Amino acid sequence: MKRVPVAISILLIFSIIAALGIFYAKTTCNTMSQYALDAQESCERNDQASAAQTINRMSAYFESRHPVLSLYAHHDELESLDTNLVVAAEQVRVGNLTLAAATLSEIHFMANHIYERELPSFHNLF
Amino acid sequence: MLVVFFRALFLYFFITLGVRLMGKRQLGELQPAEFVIAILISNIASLPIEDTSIPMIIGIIPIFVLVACEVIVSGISLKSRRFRSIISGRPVVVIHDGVIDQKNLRTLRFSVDDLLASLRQQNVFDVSTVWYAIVETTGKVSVIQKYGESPVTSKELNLTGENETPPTLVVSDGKFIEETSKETALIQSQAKEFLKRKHLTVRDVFLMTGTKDGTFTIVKKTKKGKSS
Repeated sequence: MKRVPVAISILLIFSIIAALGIFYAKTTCNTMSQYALDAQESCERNDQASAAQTINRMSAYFESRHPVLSLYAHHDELESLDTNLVVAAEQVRVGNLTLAAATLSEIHFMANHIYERELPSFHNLF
Repeated sequence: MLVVFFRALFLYFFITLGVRLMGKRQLGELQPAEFVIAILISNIASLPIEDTSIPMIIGIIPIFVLVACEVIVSGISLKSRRFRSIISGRPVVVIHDGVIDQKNLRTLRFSVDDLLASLRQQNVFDVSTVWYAIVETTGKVSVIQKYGESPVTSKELNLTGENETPPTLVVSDGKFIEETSKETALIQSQAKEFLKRKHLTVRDVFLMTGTKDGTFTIVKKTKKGKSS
């Protein structure tokens, strides 16, 4: 009968880990979205330096969150987001701010998607 | 490729842990729910191995959640008969006094061929000799034959005797088995004396079993793997 308390503990631990994962994904998503919106605004104002700085900060932030996020999110999605960050940085560097704004919009969408995929919503469950 | 290799190793470890957590009951006769769990675990375990973009935790968590649910359900089944009958069903009598209960057979979707095959596996070839045949919750058929049809027991012949304790494993693959009780310690010390008399060392022995009365069976090691 000791197995039953162990089993209940396992269920509790994993539900806590999953809940923490959702919280982690949410904070990451919110920060990334804010960065993406700020960089987008900079691109629309044609402020290349500000956009580049914001994207660099966003990349560094995502890099720091990557190890834990990779435990929860599909690696393909994280790699795709990584790729888009590199593309956006390069587009800003060469001065193509219109395209960079579009890429940043995509980054904003993907960051939200990673979070929404973790939520136990009707859409995800079924 | 190394990623796949390590993932397979980790998952093997976690699956073994999970199966151990479920206990020996899982390794024996399977109830329907246990059978489902076993299949699910094997399918889920293969996902992170086949697709390295999936986080390992997506393989590990479902396995342990299923194992935990199975353990909890088993625990509740132990305490509640009603719950047990909902999860596992109840044994059903399909033959009584040589007569097949066709209604119960239809309810179980158990064909006559299935029934006869199960009887034959228990060396029963004539349905009329069966007193009771019961389909257990695992699907296995238990049979008790009529008086006079089943093999004779020593009690019926008024023979007397003693209950025999099964031989204890003393040596396995050249090493003494760890002593677990006073009885095994006694048998082990007798075994050492026996080996001395036979001019053997423990390393020469592949398998050795013994009883309290000093009867030992030895299988010696050979170089080519054939035992003597």
